[in-house]
Amino acid sequence: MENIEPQIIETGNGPDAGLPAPSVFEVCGNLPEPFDRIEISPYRGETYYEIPPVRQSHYEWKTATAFLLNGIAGGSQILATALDLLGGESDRGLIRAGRYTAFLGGTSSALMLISSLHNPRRWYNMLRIFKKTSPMSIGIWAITPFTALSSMTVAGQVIEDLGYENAGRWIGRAFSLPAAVLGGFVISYMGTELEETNMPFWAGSYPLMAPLYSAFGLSNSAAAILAASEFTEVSQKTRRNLNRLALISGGAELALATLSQSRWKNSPEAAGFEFSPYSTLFRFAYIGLGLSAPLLMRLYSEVAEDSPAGAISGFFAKLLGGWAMQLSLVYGGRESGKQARDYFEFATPRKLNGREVEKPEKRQSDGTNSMLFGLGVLAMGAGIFYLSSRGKEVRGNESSNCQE
Amino acid sequence: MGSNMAENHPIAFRFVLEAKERGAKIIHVDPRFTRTSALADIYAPIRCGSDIAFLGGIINHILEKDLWFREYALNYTNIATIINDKYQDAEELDGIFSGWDAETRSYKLETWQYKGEATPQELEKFHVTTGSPYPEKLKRIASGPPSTDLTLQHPNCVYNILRRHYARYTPEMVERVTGCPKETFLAVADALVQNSGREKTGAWCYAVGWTHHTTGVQIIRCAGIIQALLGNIGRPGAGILALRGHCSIQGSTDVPTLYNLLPGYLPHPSANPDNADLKSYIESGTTQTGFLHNFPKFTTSLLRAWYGENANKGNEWGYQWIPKILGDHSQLPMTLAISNGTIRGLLLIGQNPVIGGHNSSMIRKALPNLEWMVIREFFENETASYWYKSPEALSGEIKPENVKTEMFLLPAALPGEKDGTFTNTHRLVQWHDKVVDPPSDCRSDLWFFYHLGRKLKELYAQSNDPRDDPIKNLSWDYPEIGPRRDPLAEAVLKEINGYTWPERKQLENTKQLKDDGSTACGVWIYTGVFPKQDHNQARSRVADGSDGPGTHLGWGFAWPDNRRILYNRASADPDGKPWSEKKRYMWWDESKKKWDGYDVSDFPPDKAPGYVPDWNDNPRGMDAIDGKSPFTMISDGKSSLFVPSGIKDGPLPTHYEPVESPVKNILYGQQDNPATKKWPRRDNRYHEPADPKYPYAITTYRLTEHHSGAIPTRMVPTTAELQPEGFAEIPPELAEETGIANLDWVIISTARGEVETKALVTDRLQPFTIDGKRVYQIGMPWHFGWQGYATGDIANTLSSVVGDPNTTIHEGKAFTCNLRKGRLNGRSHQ
Amino acid sequence: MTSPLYPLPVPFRAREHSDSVMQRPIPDESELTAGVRIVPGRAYGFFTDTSLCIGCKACEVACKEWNTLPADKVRLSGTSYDNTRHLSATTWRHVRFIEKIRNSGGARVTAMEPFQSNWLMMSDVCKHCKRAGCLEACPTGALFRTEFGTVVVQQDICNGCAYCVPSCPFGVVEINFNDGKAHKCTLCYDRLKGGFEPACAKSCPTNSIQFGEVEDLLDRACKRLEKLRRSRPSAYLYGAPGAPGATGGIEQLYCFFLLLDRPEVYNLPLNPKLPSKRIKKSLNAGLITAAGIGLAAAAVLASVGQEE
Repeated sequence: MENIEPQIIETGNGPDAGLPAPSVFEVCGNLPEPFDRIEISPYRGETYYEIPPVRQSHYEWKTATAFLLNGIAGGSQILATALDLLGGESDRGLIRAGRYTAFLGGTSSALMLISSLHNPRRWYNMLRIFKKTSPMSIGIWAITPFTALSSMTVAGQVIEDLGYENAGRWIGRAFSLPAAVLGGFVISYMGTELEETNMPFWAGSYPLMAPLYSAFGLSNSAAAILAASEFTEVSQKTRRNLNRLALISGGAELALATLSQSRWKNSPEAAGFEFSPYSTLFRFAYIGLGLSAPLLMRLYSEVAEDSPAGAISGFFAKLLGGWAMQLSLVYGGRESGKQARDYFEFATPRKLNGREVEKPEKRQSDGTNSMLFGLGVLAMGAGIFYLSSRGKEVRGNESSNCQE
Repeated sequence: MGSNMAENHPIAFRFVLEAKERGAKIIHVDPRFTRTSALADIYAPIRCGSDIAFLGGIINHILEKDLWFREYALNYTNIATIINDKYQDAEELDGIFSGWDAETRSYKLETWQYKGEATPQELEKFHVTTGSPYPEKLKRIASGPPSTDLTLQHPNCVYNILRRHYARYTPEMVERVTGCPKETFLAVADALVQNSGREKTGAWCYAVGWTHHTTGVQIIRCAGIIQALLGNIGRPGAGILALRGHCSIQGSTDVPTLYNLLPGYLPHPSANPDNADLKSYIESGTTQTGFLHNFPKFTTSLLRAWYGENANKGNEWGYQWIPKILGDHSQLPMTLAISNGTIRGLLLIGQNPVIGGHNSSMIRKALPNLEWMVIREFFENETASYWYKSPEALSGEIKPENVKTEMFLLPAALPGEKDGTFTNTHRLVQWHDKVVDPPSDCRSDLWFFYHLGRKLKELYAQSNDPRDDPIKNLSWDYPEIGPRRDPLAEAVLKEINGYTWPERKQLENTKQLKDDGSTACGVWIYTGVFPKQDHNQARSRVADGSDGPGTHLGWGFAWPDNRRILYNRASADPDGKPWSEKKRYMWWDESKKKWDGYDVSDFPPDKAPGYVPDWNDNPRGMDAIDGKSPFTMISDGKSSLFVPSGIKDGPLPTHYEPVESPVKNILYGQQDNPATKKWPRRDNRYHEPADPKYPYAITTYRLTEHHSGAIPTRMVPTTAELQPEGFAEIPPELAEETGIANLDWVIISTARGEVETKALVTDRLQPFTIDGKRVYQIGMPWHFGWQGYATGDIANTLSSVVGDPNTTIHEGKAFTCNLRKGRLNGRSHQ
Repeated sequence: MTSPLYPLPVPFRAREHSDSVMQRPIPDESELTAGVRIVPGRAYGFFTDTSLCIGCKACEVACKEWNTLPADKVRLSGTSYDNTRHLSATTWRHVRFIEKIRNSGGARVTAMEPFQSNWLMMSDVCKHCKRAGCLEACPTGALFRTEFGTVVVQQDICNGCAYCVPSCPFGVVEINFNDGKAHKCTLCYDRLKGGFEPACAKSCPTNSIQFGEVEDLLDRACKRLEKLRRSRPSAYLYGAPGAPGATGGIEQLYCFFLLLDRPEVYNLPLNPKLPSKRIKKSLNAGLITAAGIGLAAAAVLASVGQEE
């Protein structure tokens, strides 16, 4: 076991059988007519007793939670690094918070993943090689050094906090720069990891899943740092900048999430997800509670005074909504893996025998989901109204205190 | 037909597919759409038990359209033979032939005989109770050949009798009786005819789907008639193939395990006066003409093999030491005898009567009457555990404390754990070596019987009682090997093959057998399987190359005399030339004055096609068979379209409904086979024809995933999981009528009992329209029980004890039942 | 005189073993049973010709017996005669049964098509893809390409992450929760090493499953297809290069099939895709999004900074 270097190995190609390059549906390339073409009619919903043709992913709540933590950790490291490079002296508190969040998020995510593997040795097994064809390998090779670098960043922070300001800052900065670069991978690889499977719902989300995860990581960490800003001294300018950062990343996330969900609605391969409760969870808890509500609050605070309660409750709304999103995607993917038809829709080429394939008839859901979605949006609206009106009161009190 | 070959003989089915690749047409006639049907070109559905109507329709089609292979049938069958004037057909007597004796429920055979004289059939010797005393008839034969009319004009020649008999079996009638669409029937008939003749041959494959009927023998007779008419016997790619179920069930009839046979199909001596001594036994078994004229040689050699030096001419070679049979000792009557308390002990080897026996509930209630029971088995089967695990034991009908039987469960070895031979369907004997020793106390059957015999001999060694002589005088001198004292299996095979006495030089072929005690032979048909001291032909595995003749004479040994096709003289025309180049097999080589070809000739090798016996010389044995008569085991050398004697339920196959049928017989007033063996009792009641209480036809069968009675497979997880539970297959139309959904629990009931099982609703079963009436048929595998991993209720709880008149085989393939949704009381907790 | 369905070269050395007494395993036994000598460095696979399959499940049993796999689904499924239902960590060969007894008009058929029809049966197995989704997804290298071109899980390396499970486009590999590791058909790696053909192919009574060198098998399959197509125009190969099944970057299935109906009927995808083909674009999209958001934020922040 000693002395094992990570190695990059080429995968896939076994002994070459020396066969001609494939061309779609031209079979028996090494033989002439008459069987060079196969006439296959468009898919009309045939299945084998509805038995799933693919096996379902075994991801569960631990994976979903780890994904959530990864997003926050990676994003926080990126933001902390950005603040470190661009920000002023008054932002040191936020940098500290970002670094600690990145370290704790990365570590706990790793622990969560190890626990779902049952055995820490199995983590080590993954570090023995690197495979560019495996998103999981890419992920592991992002998370592991990221967490290591993040801990060094924290070490720098500790040195800084002990009073060796210059040294601490430079150490922190030296480690946080590569950590932030890896953080980019950490926040986006999860989308890739889901997309690059044969769960029809996940695979059918390509190529929106990875961007969604990226935006998710950044906007959640922005919310986290914004919440942290309520506990430390921060300039108004930084606070406003953070608010805008949260607005931009949250807006991007909302755009991607809405785009994704409207695509799922119309894509046959996502029917398993669409007809499951997970789509409701996604729309109600994530888009409604976790995305729209905090975003409205951020919008509101652009025009009015924000309150600490608003930032903190916004963060928790995002955290809960984000968790709901991870859970709904993970379990929704498993659910779609059980739908034979979804997979076959996914595995039907758009063109067959040179002709466009007919659009499959749309399967009808019973409407419960859309009803719940509507209710959720209404409830959300009420919640936002309540929160923001409360926020105004608090801020009003605060300002009166200042005057005194 | 009568066989689900792909499912029950998958290995043999490989060759069917090879034939298919070479252009063969595969036809499957079956009540159910099976895995065989899926690989067939034509699937013809028929109602279970209507086989003779279907086959009779084919005979009618062949004769009326004049499609038969005239040159073959005219010369090689008894089609031109003239039958006794007094013969009256079933057509005249509404389903019964002349000679019926209502009192004894049997036929007197005089009116069925060839005109002018009795022509006993080889088969008749098994049926000593029918007709006039056999030796008398034997004396009457052999004054000359039977009278024939080769112009086929004589009204009582077989040709005209056949035509009259089957005239009403038209395609329309076939559809009315069997439910098979007329077009499908005609497609089958056409395919058969088109694939017969000089250039082509066709074969029938059957299994217990034909035999398990009260008309089983007659169904097979139908195929015999069709094949003889079409010239499909004794030729390559032709024949009627009985697919045997177990790996050596053929061997077990050859050697044999049947109560009425001695090894090599010699009749078992009976207590009748004509078997009183060896002389009369030999006299009654020896035909004057044909191959069985050699009967005394087989008998004497067998006795020499059994009693060795204790046998001599003075003591009739030990003939009197053979126990004599008294009547029908087959399994069904034996079961009843247990029930009546007549039989007190039972030795079960490879048998599980609680599952395989019919009217299983009656059997279970009969078994406690036994004083002792020995079961040799791989595991505790249902028969060994009935007293505490059967439904009757669970319900309290059988109380374990009241079962007085002393039970012995002896662990048996599996095939791979013992040396020995398998004799397959095509009479091919192949040796197999032991792969591993059986575990722990498990022993082979050979070990068991050898040591049982040895101990018995020890026990009786000092006895002076003459009734112990059979055991004392038995020669029992097989060498033992190894620490477990296994008898040497090859030594047994050597004795089966036969050797000279007392030199013990191995015999090479049946011709060397003598009737003077100078040869010993255990099974005369196996002579040649071990032709030299150190050469076991059954061990040989030399295949023909891809350009060889394909008879593979170097592979194993096929009895008799390593012959691959029986009656292969018929592969050449009457003049001895091959019927066609394509179907070349055996031919007369004029230059060498002998029969030549790819196989061992089943005809005297030097008998020219032109040979005619001179009846003034009083010819005997093979000398009485002319050069144009290939069927040498029959005394006139001709294939019997019409069987004058030897079969108990008619000279011609006639459609009778099963004993239990959902419909009335459309063809005759006689509903079922009049000669059927029935045992009506309170616990063995039969349903009336078209009984509204039991409206559905039911057939039972086996699944590929389980071997035989599933004893070897239900206990093995890997096979048990493939068919893990019992079920009944139900057509969707019936399921809809009765409100049954797939996987629902259903109860199937008959007058004998009820079972619960799961429903498998499938299009593979279909309703039939019989004479305008809709008839449903359900199917149920019979090999499930309560032991092992794969369990289910026992289908044979439903069936009755009823037997074919010739073989006493039950009718498990066609009876009636009722069906309802639900579970049996008190069983739902399981 | 004989022209078997799939003529195998009968090596003369078969005669060496015409007597059944054996002291040791026959060297290169596969030469006698499958007509192929197993040599490392070449690609081996199965050609499963469903037109000859009689659904006897001997392959399933042989596989479980040789690989000592447990039976774990002892329950009647109600789906025709298929009681194992799918490939799993403990079922590496699986026979499907598709009842199509009725024609399009709803009537039961009596005139059948040549070879298998109306009750389709197909023995499924790991496809040992030329580019294998499972192998590419495996982060530990437990799944590797053997010297025989096959894809095998090394049990001591597998970490049970289960990422290979959804990465297989055919639903083959699965985790066994007793040991928490991935399992699938090894194409009898141990037998191949000893010169034996895989257990399932050896046990197949009708030559529906044929083992051999992939190139040879393709050649045989194409010849068979050419002949069969005269009577069964719907027949095609699944998994041959360029054929359905060998799509989306998978290139070729070393275990390929002759099918008589569209793939979905056999529970096979028409156009499966190799997941790794999408990684690059997906990762780029994620990173670009992150960068985009960052840039947008920087721009906003910068403008805000100027304002004040």
